[in-house]
Amino acid sequence: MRNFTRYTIQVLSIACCSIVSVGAIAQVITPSNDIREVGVSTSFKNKVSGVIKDASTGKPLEGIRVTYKNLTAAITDEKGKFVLTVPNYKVSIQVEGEGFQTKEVALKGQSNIGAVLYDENHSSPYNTVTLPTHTISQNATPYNVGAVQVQGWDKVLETADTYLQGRIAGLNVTRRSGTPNSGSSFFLRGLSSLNANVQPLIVVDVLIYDNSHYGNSLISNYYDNPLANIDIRDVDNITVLKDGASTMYGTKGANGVILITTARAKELATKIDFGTYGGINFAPKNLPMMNAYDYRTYLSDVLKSSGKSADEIAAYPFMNDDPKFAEYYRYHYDTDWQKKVMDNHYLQNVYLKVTGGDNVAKYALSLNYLKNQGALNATKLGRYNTRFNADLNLSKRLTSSINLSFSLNEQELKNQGIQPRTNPVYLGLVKAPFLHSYDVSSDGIESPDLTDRDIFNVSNPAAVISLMQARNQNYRFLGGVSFLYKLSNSFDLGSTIGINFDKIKENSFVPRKGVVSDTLSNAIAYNKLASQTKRIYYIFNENYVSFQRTFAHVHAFNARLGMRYISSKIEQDFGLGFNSATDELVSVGNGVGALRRVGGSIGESRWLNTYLSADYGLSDKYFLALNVALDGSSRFGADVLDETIKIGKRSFALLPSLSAAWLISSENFMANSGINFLKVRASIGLTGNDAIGDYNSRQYYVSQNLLGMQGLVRGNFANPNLKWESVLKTNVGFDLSILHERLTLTVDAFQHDIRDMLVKEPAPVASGLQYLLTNSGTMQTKGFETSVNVRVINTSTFKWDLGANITTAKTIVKSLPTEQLLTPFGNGTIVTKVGEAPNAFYGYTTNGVYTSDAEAAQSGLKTKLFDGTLADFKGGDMRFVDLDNNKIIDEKDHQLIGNPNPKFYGGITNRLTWNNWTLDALCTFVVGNSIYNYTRSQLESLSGFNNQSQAMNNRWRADGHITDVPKATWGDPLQNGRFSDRWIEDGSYLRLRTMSLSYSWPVNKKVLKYVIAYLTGNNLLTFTNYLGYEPEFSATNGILGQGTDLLLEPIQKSCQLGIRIGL
Amino acid sequence: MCLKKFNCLFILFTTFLLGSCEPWNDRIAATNASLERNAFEEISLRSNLSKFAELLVKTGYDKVISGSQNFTIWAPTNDALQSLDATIINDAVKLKAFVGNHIANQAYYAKTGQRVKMLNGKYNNFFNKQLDLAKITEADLVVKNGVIHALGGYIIPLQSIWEFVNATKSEYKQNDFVSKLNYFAFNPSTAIIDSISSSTGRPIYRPGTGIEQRNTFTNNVYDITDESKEYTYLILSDAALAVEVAKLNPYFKTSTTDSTYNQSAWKVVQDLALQGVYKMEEVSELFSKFNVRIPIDKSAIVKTVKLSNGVAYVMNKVDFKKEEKFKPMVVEGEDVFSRLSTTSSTATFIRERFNPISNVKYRDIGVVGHGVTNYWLSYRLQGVPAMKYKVYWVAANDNVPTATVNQRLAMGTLTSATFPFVAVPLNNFQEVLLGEYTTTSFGTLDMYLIANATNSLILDYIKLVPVF
Repeated sequence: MRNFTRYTIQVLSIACCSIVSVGAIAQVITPSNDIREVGVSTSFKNKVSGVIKDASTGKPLEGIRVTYKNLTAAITDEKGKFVLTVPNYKVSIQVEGEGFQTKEVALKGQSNIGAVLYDENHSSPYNTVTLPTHTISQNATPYNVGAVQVQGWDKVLETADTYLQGRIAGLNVTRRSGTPNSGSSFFLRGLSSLNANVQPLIVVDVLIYDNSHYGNSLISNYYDNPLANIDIRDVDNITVLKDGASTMYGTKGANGVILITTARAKELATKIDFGTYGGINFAPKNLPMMNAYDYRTYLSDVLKSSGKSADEIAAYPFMNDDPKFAEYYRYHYDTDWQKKVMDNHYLQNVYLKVTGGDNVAKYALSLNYLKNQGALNATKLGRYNTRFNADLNLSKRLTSSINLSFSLNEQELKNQGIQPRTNPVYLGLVKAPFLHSYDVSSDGIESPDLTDRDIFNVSNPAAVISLMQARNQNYRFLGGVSFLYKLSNSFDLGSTIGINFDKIKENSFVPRKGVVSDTLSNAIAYNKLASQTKRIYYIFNENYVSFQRTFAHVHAFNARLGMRYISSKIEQDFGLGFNSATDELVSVGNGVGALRRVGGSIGESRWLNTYLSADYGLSDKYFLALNVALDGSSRFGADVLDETIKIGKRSFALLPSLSAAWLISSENFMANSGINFLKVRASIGLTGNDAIGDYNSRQYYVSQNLLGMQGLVRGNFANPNLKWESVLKTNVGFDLSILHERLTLTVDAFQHDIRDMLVKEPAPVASGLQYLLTNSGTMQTKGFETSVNVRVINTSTFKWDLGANITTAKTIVKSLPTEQLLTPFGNGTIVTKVGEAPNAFYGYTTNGVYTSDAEAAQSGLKTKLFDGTLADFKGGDMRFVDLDNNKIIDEKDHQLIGNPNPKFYGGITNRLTWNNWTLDALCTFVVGNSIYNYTRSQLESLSGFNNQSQAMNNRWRADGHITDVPKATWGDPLQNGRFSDRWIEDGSYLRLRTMSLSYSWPVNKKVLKYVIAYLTGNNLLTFTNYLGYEPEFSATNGILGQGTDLLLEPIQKSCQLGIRIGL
Repeated sequence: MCLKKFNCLFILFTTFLLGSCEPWNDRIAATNASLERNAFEEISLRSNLSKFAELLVKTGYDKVISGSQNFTIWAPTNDALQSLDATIINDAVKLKAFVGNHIANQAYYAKTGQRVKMLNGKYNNFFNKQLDLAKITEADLVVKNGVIHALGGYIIPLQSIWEFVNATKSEYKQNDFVSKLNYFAFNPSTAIIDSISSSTGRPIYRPGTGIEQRNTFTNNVYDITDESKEYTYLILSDAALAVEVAKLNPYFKTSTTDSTYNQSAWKVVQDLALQGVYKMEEVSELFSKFNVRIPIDKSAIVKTVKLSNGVAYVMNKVDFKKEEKFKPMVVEGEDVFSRLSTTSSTATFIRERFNPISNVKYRDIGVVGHGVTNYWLSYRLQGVPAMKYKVYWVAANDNVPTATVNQRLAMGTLTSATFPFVAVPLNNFQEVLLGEYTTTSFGTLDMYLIANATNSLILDYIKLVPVF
């Protein structure tokens, strides 16, 4: 908190200085007029007249601005009428008014037009989209872009990534876990790489935003989420470039581009927005685990199968039911361990935004504080964001915009994922229910001391919760300054400089008390102390010259030639210590000297992107766009072989794209059709992916410890031929609007051909390395996406907007250097195989359980035991399918058992407004994906002392027992729990993702601008057949491991109540 | 109307908070309805087991088998229980033992074949869908906490062999004798430790603790108190016992008649128990634990008694051959009882050697270069019957270290000149007959291996073979 105060003061002082200096500049520079007003005095001989009406009431609208390209303008009178001069009757005119949509109306040869205007929230083909080079109405772009105008005041828990879930056709957003700030995995239109980065490029206010993860976290399965540094209420618009348009970003555009525009001051008057929120995160519903009664009968079965006699089993202290027995009380609880690790917790938030300025300088300043405690006990997030955006008119020709942001996250965490000693979620499930968190005396008196690990060698979940420490503290400063110099009416010069600095500091401590010891190569680790620091630094620079001009009111050109440069440097340093004298000594220096370990990594890269972006519009009906990028990168190999451009000795990637669109509805012949808007689009573009690793094309060495001696060993095979991956994107589609724009439909078909895909080719064993990285794979994605928006009810007091989008994208591997690649992951295997999805699950197939020994004997099947000998299956074992009919169940019987990629995904949006009430509901869905339920494979292993799910009460008991659950056997020698379709489940779900109700009080506008209350619920209702806490999670960053439920903190239901006051 | 709509929405909103769907419900539903019930609930539900259910309630076992340790219940059906003796039903102790004889801890399914411990401490054989002799009519009714088998009969708890021996002391002299073979011994595991001695580091036990009574028969022959195993126990009628004891009396000549009787009788009874259950009708001879042939005369079987851990046969004749009762005795060279203490211990070697004739490894003793005239080692045999023996030794001198071996064996006393000095040749691994020796009374026999002058001594073993 003290840190926060310090940082806040620093940032505030920077902000204040900026404001002061802006004010100073304002006094010196002569104020220029609003650019919009320039040249309005022009007049043409052709007159066009018409009436503008309100779409919901049908009444004429007064005060609506009607313009032609800022050349001529008119305002409607009280009857909604206007008269405007235009160069001819083939052009389009713009209509806009405060509180209403901005719209383009094609004259289609007519001199008298009628138009209706919807409110500004209406989703139409005229919505604004932000392109990397300029902002444009969606109707005039040949690209396939998805855009949302962000309304974040009722969605305080969302970050830019989670906000997009279900809102953009083609974009599949999967939240990593329920941990606050944990972020999301994006998959835009299928999968685009096997081993390189698959996340779209993020651009925030023209600065490329570093959204990567460098090095591992000390905290298992934790990823810090850079997008959490942007408060959703600071975001104005998010635009997603899905097709070849992302060529504009060259070798960073292969996965698409997400452009985030943060809010700036729109008007000069000072405006203060204040919001305060409180809410609850609800503990997830328990998984049905056995109670103490069922667990003890299960234990008896397991112990008996291990060969123990009835007397030996009865000798275990937990089997002794004599209250006089000294350990009776210790073993006779019925603890709900899940409730001990997860509970309902609170969140609170305060947000302040001030905007305003004068016609020289406008500013927007925001401050945000969020305290969010997730369901996992003893975890919490403190987040502090500040943002300062300013727009300056420095001279008549020179304008500048400034974007500064600073954010700090302080988070208390716990290990997640496959960490059986320290993952509280796992421990809460498997811990013996008859035990208690605290020591218990022989008289049943509970001590305040937490118990140590138990008789089964399982950690105490309560000790992990209260004694283990895992802290992440990170901050990011991102600052950018852009200048625009108007050379002439047609030519502009632009320049942007940006700096990003991150520091991520982590500390963790695993206590001795209550936690099972770890085994190092040369010692037992009773407790573990760790500390890590990561620094990420980059400089961004972009310079360009742009040209825009319309010739003869027919040929509109908009072009930009520029270059972007990024130099980035990261460093990671960690220290591990073990066995500090007591659990009170938690910092890394207290570890035993001989066991101390230090390590780290560095990464440096440079990227130079030269681009040309040229748009051409003919009569506002025919659009053509050409983008060409020429990219160089320090990551590319020194000797890239084919199809490249060489400048000096370096290879450059040449990536072109071409897009075209025809706005059919603006043609004269469409004048009297019922179609309000129709545009067909086609694009083809080559994009690149430079995330091939900073040093993979070069030879590097890594440190190696051998018997206490530190040395260097070869870390890879240098591949000087290594180059970027390339993705050829083709897209055809159309946008349609009918029923007076009440229904808007967008349909697109796309194909991505991924070439030169990075593959980890298995290396010969003798090489001592596991693989060799080569550009030797190809992959293809084909799919469709569609979105529809309907204004179902449209009256002046009651409006209902219903929207839906759905995408199907199927990615298959087209070629590989080997027949197939197998990747082990969480006891399972992922296969990459030609003709199949690149990350499919590969395992055994089962067909129920043998009901008797006789039936098992009849099958004649055998399997290898752990010692290599063959053993027969018996009654109560799983019936595995013997694919190769050799009567032995082994890896030759593996087959494809699931595909983690959804067949369909999308969202349904609803917005109802009634007088001062607004109800906003978003549903998201994913259909047809398989999940490998690793969690359940642990909870239904039937092989040891871990507590089991209640379904295991149906375990096979005796000959003739018909069940689909195998018998309990100690150690599972016949591997009934092996990776098979038993653990593959349908991960489809439909979720009421967010629902918010807001009410705006009628207030005296002289005192307050507005008072709005929000009641918001997240993840309220989920329909799924998935047998886990949650069907949504993403345990890894890449495509391998997606759809594997690795015991992460589940996503939680939450609700918030908030109030916003406008001054 | 609209307001109402929003009220509805608000209610929906709150129900969303509470509601969610339940994919687990199907999965955790029991495959067999019986798996949702514990053993007692299941028995209560079955009309053909209602009588046994009543007995369970009466004995309090209903609560036991409702608990979460696993149980197997062999529940006699109502039909089977009709013939149950009313005295058992009316006697609370007997009834508890009876019901407990049908319940075991842990689940034993019909396919298991093993001897199972029951809750009353007794064991019953459970093989081939049969508990002892009662057949299972309905097998493997799985329940939450174990398994139930409906039983077409019932099993009355029986005495163990040991209980039977004690109960029939007055009837059979043999049992009286066996039951009195008691002695007291100290068992540190049951003793209470008061402190640890600071001088010796050993525990100091509380006086009077850790002392327990043991029985020579259960300790040295078979533990016929053990319910988990099965034994065959032969009881000689008093007359037959007297005949057998009389046969052996000459070899146990002592100072008193009583002690002679005790030794002879022990020699008789130790060969009267066998592990496992034998049907006497099917065998003609058996061999005891001490490898003594037991001739079985089927006509001599007077009575057969079935017991919980085996069977007892009362015989009016078992004609042991006395020649088979007495086995050769061997004393190993390295098991020295005492020695002339004037030499340094460096002269004495306990050696691991390989016998090329028998192809086995052996240990022997060598005293080489001791430098003491007539140096000797003594050996003691306990409980040597009074009779004539052929005396052998094996003294293998392999000359490593170089040794000249010349020695004699003196029987009884050091000065006894029973056998002369023998110059032991090199590498003779054979048994060498030294001569015959007769003992006059039962008891301890000392033997001395004496060096000729300062020659070395070598001895693998001494063997006494009875001569009748």
